[in-house]
Amino acid sequence: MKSGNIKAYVMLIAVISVIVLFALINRSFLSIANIEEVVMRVSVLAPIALGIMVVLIVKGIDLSPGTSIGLLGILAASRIEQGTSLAGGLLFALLFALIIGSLNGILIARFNMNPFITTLAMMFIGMSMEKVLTQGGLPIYLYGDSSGFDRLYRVSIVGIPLPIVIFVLIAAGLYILLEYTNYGRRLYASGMSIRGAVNAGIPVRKYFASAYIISSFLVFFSSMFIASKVRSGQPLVGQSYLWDAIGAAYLSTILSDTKRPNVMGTILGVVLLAVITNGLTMLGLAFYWKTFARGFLILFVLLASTMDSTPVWMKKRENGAETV
Amino acid sequence: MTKKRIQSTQILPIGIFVVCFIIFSLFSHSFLSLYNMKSVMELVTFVALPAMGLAIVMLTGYFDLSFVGVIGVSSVLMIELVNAGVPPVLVLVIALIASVLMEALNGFLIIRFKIHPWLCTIATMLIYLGLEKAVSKGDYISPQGEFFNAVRFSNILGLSAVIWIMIITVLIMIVIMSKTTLGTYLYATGGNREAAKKVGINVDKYAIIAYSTAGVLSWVSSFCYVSQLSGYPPEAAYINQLEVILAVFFGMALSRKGVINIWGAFLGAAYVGFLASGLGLMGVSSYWIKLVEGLLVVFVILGTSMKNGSLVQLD
Amino acid sequence: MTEKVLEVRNLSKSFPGVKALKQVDFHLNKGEIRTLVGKNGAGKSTLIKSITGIYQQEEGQIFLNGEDVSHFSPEKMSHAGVEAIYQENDLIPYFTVGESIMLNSEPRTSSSLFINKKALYAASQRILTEELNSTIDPRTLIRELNVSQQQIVQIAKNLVKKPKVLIFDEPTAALSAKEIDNLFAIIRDLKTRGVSIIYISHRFDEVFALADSITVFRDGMKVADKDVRETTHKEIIEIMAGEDGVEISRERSHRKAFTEESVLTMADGGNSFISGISFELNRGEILGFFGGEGAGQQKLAQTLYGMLPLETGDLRVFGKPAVITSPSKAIELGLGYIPRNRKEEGVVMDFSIQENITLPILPQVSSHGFIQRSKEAGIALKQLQDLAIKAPGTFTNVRNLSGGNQQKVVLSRWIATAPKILILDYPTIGIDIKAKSEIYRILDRLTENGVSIILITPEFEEIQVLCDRVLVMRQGRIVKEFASHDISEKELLLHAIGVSDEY
Repeated sequence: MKSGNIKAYVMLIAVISVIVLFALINRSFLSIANIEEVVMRVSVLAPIALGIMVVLIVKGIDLSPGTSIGLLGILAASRIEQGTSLAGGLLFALLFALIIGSLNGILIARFNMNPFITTLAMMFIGMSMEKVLTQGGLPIYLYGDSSGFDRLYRVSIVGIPLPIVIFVLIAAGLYILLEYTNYGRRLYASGMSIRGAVNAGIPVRKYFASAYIISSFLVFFSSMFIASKVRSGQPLVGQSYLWDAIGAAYLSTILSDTKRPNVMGTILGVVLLAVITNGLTMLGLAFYWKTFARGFLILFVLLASTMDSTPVWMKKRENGAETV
Repeated sequence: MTKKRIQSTQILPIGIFVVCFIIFSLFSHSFLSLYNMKSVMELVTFVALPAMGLAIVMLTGYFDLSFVGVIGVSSVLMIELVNAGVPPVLVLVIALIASVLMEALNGFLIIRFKIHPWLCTIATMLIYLGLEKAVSKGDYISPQGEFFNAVRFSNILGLSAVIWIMIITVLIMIVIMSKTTLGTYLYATGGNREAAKKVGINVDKYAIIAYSTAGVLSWVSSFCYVSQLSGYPPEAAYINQLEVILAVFFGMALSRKGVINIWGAFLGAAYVGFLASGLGLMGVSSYWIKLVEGLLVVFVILGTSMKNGSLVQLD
Repeated sequence: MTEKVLEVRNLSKSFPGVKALKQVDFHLNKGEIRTLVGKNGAGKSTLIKSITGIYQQEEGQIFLNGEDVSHFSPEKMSHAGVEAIYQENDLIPYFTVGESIMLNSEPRTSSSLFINKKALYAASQRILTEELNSTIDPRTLIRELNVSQQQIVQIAKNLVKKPKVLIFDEPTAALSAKEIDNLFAIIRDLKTRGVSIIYISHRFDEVFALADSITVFRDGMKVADKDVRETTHKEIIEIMAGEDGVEISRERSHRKAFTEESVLTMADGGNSFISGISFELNRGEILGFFGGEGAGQQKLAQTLYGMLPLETGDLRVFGKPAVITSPSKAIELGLGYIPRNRKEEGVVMDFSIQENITLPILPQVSSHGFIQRSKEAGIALKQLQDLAIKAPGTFTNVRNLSGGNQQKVVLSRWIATAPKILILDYPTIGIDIKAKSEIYRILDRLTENGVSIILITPEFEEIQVLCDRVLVMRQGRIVKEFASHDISEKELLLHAIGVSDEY
């Protein structure tokens, strides 16, 4: 990963410079409270980004987190509000997450549907379900609730907040899964050379579908923390997380020589985006500038990632010896 | 020799349409009223116009999600300029140029830098939506003065101006697509890019033309929004994005050739409008209606995917 | 006075590892029908693509009616009057016939804004009826036409520009006898109207029925120009085959007489691509399959490997009936398949050597699902050494290897699975001589260890050196079996092409 290493260093320098820049503009950027805030945001954003990264490995995309983040939170909150225990509420949301992932997987892998359109449609369906469940967009609040849901975001294990612990576990687990297990090897093979993988006897459809299930599974974790943070099930929270996650996942492909989506790069991307989002808020800019900035960031990442090669999307047949 | 026979694939969508129509009219006696028809058609314009733009981009072989942002920017631009005292004609011209440029930018980025159309237009959508809100400061802004009011309350031969605008636009687009070389070459670029190149068609130029045309249609659409609603609710077009996409796919299912087309996009938009109206009159809440629309998108695409293999290859 | 409409001088064209055309001189006389014949890989299709501008040659010139067109792009060549018709057409399924034919030459109305549809259909109708004697209605959609009709539309499309030279590349592959007659009538008619024609085919009865002259290619060189009336089928085949009869003292390892134990038997196997396939593969044997393009060898291999379904007939592997529904099933039974398209199907590009080698045998290098890199590297290293793969290490990305070394990686992957039956499809295409002979040695060694091999190849030399028996295929069937000492290239071609003894 020679030149990939150089790019990683460049990225690191970029992150540091951005931090310095923001710190110069607003002193409190570097305050403990703010740093905590950024770290927490990273921990909550990262699982989503990692989920999208997994789907990217099989040359797909998952837009459904745009609403499943909010939807899962609403589902958990509504159950708990009606008296289910914390575990019951979480389990319910988890179940739903797996259903969404499976649906995505089946439609895309089994029925050959286009991943963009399918997950986009799922996002729209999710949006309406959110509205239905919250009777028009009112969050489901859980004040003074005894289940302990609001503690999820705030509880600490050996002094480290739970979201960070979960994030580290997920990142480490995913890294090991992808780099060191048979599953990971076969997943990468299915994405990088579908026909080569078939030739080696890999059931590629199953692997494609599994990627979407993993994505939804990871979204579940973030979704619970997000809902816990605001102590409610909020519709429409997902959008901003989604775009950041997509940007971060694509960023990881720039950092790899062979354009392989990877865990480290995604985390670096998440850090960068979380810092920028936080910085923009600190600058006191109105909320719409953030959408603006997100769009530009994604565009920039896209341009950078397709800069030095013919894109997979528009490949021409090569003149080769095989056609003699 | 192929006469205009109804294909087997067309039966299902047409059938559903007819069945729904019957159910709605049975359920609510106001469904078939002239007043209802007219108000539905006015709402249909919000979907039909962008749908035609999206249809043109898609049949040329590309995709566009950013039109909701373009409509937004164009609308708030119109409002702010009118409120600043700029003469209406100039306002319209400026908004038109802005819309075309915004969409053409998509085309340029996709062709020149070979970015994936989906990802590119997602990014530009965010940028344009952000721009829209930057201008409107997130408020529901309204135009002052008589110009837009006059359009809203006009009555030509019993129909309001926006309906006429839609009808005329549909007719113009149909004529262009079916009777000019422009239309043929756009279809050719989408049908078989390499074959089109071989015959000497400049496929890149036509890609940009397709996006620019979507820009024009977004501009017309924004004009209708601002007139009808006497203002522009924040992200109004974004809220209708699903219906627009559904309309285009529905139109494809309806077409004899199984191809995305202008007339189909219009019919699809009309269908979606009537569906929403009918369900609403039956008392179904708008959220359930959106849910149904989302499911319909999945089903229509499922149907066409299974018939043709993957619609748009990601890789 | 034969005037040359097209002349090619001293043309050479190379690809990585292979010299496809070597200083070729070729000419086409005005108003003649000239056929190009030659074995697979002889250079016919490369010549055509160089003439039409798809390939740019390294040396040599091309002249059209005296004008130098050597470096014209495909668009310019088309404009200059040279058109080619391949097996894959470029018609758009949802366009009408008329729209397709007149694409980019549509007649306009007086205001020149709109297309004059009436004129468009009239013009296309005229081409169809008068020039091609066809009854196709120009308002039909392309996708409602059958293959032969689409071909006619493709021809009509090319006629709009009034070409001087028309090139047909194996046009009769998918046509019925009647449709072929129709096509010939069209071609003869074109000739009377001054169009000069190049016709590539391996079907000799067609060649001799239609053409005025024949040009023979062999190994990238033009070896003969003959007038059709002055030659016979047999002579052409002899020229195609080259110096036969030379008993090449090949270093063929004296393969221990393979046992008569059958490891794979197919009886009357068939599907949409092959029919009536019956053969036996014996232990330790190398069984060759030979045939022209589209004769069915590749489809047979894919069927054996579970990529295509076997619809009729029986398959037995090691004496037991076997139903192979997927590659993983095939691998379980001990089969391995080295596909023709090395870059897309053989290796996983951007995987390292060791990642590629262990892909089908991951369970063997992992415990409880976790890959043991050291074990993996060990296996890969052994293969690297055994097969003399030239690479810095097992971590090297296969993208950076030469074609020959990439193929060795593919081979080593399958060797690592300890297969019992290996299927190889065009295994040495695009590979340099040294790597080729190394691969031959590897295959020999494999058979010594009891592996049985099915070898699909178009190269006679490979068959001579490696195969114990050869089965010739044509049009999806097996037409002849040869034992190795019995083979002459001439005979092979005769059966692959389908020439009877009368000529």
